[in-house]
Amino acid sequence: MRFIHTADLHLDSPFLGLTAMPTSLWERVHSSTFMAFQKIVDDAINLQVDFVLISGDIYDRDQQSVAAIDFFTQQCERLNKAQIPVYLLYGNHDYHVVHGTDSLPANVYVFGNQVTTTVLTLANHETVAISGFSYDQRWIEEDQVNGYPQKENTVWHIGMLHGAVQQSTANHYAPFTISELVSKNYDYWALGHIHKHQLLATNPPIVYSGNPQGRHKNEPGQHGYYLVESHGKRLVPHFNAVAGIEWSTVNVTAIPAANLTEFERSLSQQIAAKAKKTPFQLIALTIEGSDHLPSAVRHLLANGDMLEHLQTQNKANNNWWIYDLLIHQQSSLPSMTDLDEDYWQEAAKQVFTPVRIAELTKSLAREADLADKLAALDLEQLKQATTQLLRRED
Amino acid sequence: MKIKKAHIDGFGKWHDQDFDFTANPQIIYGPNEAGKTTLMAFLVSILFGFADGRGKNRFAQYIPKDTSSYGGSLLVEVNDQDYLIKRQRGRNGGKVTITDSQGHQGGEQELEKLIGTMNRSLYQALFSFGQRDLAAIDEINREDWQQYLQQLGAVGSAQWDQLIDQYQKDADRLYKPRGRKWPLNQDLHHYADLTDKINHARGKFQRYQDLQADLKSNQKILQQARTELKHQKPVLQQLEHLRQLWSVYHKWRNNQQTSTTGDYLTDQQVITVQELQAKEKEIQRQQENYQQRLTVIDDSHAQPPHQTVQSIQALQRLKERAVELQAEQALQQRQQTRINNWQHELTTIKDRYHHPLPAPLDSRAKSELTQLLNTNSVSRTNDNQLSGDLSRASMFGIVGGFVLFIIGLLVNVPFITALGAIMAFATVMYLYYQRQGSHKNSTTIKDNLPAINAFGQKYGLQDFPPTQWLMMQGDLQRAVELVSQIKTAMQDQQRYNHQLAAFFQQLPSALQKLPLSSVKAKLDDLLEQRQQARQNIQANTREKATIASNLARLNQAYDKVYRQKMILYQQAGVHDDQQFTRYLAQRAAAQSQALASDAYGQQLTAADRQALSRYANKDELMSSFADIQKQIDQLSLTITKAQEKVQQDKVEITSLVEDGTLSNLEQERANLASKIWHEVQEWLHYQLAVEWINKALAGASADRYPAIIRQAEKYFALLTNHRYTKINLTVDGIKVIRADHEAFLVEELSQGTAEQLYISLRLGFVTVMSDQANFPIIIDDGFVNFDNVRRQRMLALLEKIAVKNQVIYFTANERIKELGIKIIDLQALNHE
Repeated sequence: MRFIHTADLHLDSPFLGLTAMPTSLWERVHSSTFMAFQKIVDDAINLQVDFVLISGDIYDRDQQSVAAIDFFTQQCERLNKAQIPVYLLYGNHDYHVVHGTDSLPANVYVFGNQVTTTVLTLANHETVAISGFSYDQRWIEEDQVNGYPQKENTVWHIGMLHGAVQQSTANHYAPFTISELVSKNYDYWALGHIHKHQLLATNPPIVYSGNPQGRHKNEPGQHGYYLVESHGKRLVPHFNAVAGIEWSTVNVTAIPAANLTEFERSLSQQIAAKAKKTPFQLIALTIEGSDHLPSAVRHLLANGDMLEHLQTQNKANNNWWIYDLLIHQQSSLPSMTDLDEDYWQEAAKQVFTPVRIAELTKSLAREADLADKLAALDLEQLKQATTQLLRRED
Repeated sequence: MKIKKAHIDGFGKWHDQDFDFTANPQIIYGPNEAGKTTLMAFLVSILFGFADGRGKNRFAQYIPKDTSSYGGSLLVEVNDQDYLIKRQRGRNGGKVTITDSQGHQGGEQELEKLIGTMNRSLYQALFSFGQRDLAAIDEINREDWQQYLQQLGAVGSAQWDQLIDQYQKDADRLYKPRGRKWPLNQDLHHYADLTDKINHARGKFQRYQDLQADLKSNQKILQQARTELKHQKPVLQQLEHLRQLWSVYHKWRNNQQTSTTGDYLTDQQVITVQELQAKEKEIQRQQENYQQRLTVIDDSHAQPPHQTVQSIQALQRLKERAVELQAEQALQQRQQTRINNWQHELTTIKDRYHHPLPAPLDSRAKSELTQLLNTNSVSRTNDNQLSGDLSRASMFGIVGGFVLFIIGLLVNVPFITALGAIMAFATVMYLYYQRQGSHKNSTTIKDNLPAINAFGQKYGLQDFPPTQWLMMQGDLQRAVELVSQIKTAMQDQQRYNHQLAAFFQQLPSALQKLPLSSVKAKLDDLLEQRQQARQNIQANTREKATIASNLARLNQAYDKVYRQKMILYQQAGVHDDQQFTRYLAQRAAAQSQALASDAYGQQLTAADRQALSRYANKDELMSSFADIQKQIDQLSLTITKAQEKVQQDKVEITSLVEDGTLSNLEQERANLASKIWHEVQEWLHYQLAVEWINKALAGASADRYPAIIRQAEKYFALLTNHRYTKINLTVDGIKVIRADHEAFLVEELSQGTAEQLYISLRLGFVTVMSDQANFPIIIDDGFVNFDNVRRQRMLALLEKIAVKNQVIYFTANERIKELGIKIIDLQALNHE
């Protein structure tokens, strides 16, 4: 038996953390979530898998993207034509009160809002039980694993679950523990929700497929799906990358050059040498050793001018795009001739506090969905960034 | 900083005035209106700029009324260096020049280096105070002090303050909480706009869902209609089928209804009847034949038999008579030929003379004439010759005629017989007339004119030449003969014609027109016919007897047949053949109906019949048909409409699906969010930097604080003669501790003591901060509430302060002069 496990398609959801970008890149970005899933469907058809599992977050409910729903329906229709069943559940982003399969093709089985188990018989007469449930609200704080039945007399039993491992606090997403899952005696756990593909356990495999396409810098590296095949009495997942765009970080060393053009060229060369060739790379460029640069160049690096320039120069580049430029610096505190380090540290304790920041950003927090981001600010990073700002004036 | 000298070019009431501040503290005395305040304002204005002309500052400008020059200069000492600060009329606080001891000149920037972050207001707050300030003791609080401390730049202040300013500006250039034009403000505004747009675009999702629902319902309608149509179509087809069958069915049904009435004769019976009829007809025909035959026979007996016999005899006679006449006819014909010849001859003679011929001369007259003429004729030979020829031809005519006559008899052809007779007769007659003519021709003419003429007159010969007279006598004689012969012949001919006519009258009318020649044959025929007829009559009589017996037999047969027929007719309910014919027609129609009915019946299946039986008439069927047709039309319409709607929905769905607006907006907003976040962070970094610097500076400054308080406590103790030992500067206000450990709030102190406290704090501050900010302390006419003791102590304190800071003390108290220290007396200067 052979099947595909994927999740978190997040069709048509925007890429985060980009600012300006040329049209070609925009098109690439926009189509990437679609293309990734299309590749999965291509593979499913080409590899003649027995079925496809999608563990939630197919699209963002709030996004209300017509294109996403329509595209997904079409792809399911392709699988339908190839007579490949699809088992899907809805996650926290596409939570749904499930009544039937909506307008999806007949090959699609949608798990209801309570844990249900469906059994299918493969061409080779093996039976596969699949258990799962769909979110009917954004947050599910209770452990749902209890609702999953023990494996019984089917040849295979697969659990589908959109959720996160139990944490000490803030368990909004159907929290579970690995031992709980293991105790069900299933042959495979197809998890969704976490966007980084990973195996939480190998026997049985408890697997996050990750999202097929990373959508911001915190989703770097390869993204794809798991092709799961039976090896004897075991199900073995194999990761296949499909993402057309990869988020990555490239570190380059600032080499003082005769002029600005030279300097930029050396940066581009280093990126070309260090960046992965495929797929298309969205690069956060980190420049080291900028301390040795002339202050004018440092200034251009700091105020974004250099980034803009590099972006313009590499606009037609079909392999990568620099979306951010970071300057790696010694994070020593500012030095003041007549102020002790102690004064700064003491002051920092008063300044870099959530309360103080909340007070400062009181008016901003009301705007543009910033409240969460502001609340989530890392104080140490802020201090670091501010230090860099102050050190610029040294 | 220390002000060594001041020179006023023009400032308020002062112009072109020099002051030397050599003493320290420098006491400047002047009563009211002496120019103390003006001088103070001058000092501050040269250092920090002239007041501008706005608002109440107008009056702090001190623009001189009696001189054009405005401003002046100060000679100051900073860090043991002398600088000349000169300020003149100019923009933004006046034009300032600064010259150091080496003669280097500079402007505003060089001045800034000397005075650092100090500005007019801070200076006035910290280093300059008067009676009004003393009264404000209760307004002093820790934060203000903190502020002052920082403003003074407790530590490396100048640089950091600039930075703070810079960062604040940078932050403000990005975002102000209530701003509009700043990038982050604009981006946030744009973000809100985009969010609106996105929400609007998301409205399309609802539209999409509606469309999907609509599509589904339309597809359902379509499917239902199609299913319905699928059901209805066969019904319609069935009805169409029934409709086509209806006429058949209708006939069949009618036949079914009518075919029950009337029992017809069996085919055998009909055949019998028809046979009987045929027999009857045959008998009748035979009867008719016999009757006809009888009629024919009767007709042929129209003339009575004796007549026939008589007729035979008459005909016999006629026949004989015809033969006679025929023979005579031949003679007559020859006679005619002769007549013709005679007439011809006569005509020839007449023609020869052109005049009516006179009668011939008799022999006497002839001899008379011969004498007269004495001539003779030569024509006699000719005549003889002619005569000979004629006789030969006559021989042929007689012999030929005779021969013909014999032949005619022999062969029993009356015509030839008659012809032969006529020929012979005619020849004989000709010969006779010929001989007569030859005799008459020999005439003689005489020639003896007068006699002749007379003779001519007498005999009617005057018209002719006398020479001819004799010669023409032959001709004349001949002419008379000819006329006579002709006459005779004509008479004979006439007689013959009479006979002929009488004969013809006796002939049966049918023969009357025939030429004589054919009459005989006809008469023979008639004779034969008559004989035949006589025989026929005999045969007919026998035949009639036979016919009669036959007829009798036939009548019997007919009666029998007729009776049989009538029996059957009775059975059929008819009385005669005509009725029976009609009956047969009816029966045939009935049979064909029955046949047709069978045929119709065969065209209809049982199911058809059953189906058709539901309809009373065609209208009902048609109305059902129309109903179904209508339903089908309705369904077709529904289908068409549903198809259209489905198509519309699909098109709109496609357009919604392909509408990238939402995706674009989402990504645009995501991008903007990134930008905003960058900007927020940047702004936050600036703000935090400002705060951090401030706090760090505050931290650093905070060390000065206890020193200031300690210094202030010392001064306060000094001024109060150690009555008070401690000062507590708290957020709530200032507390002082008396020597007996009793604590007092500022409000509880006497006015004098409060002023002493204020001065202590101010001077303490100035003293402690003097290493950072060393400026002349200017005190304006203070201490009015101090008694002499207190003033003494105060002055003692100023002496002490003056060690570190220059003290310039303005007073209007005349008694100051009594102290015997060096003062600047403004009143004295005014009087100069």
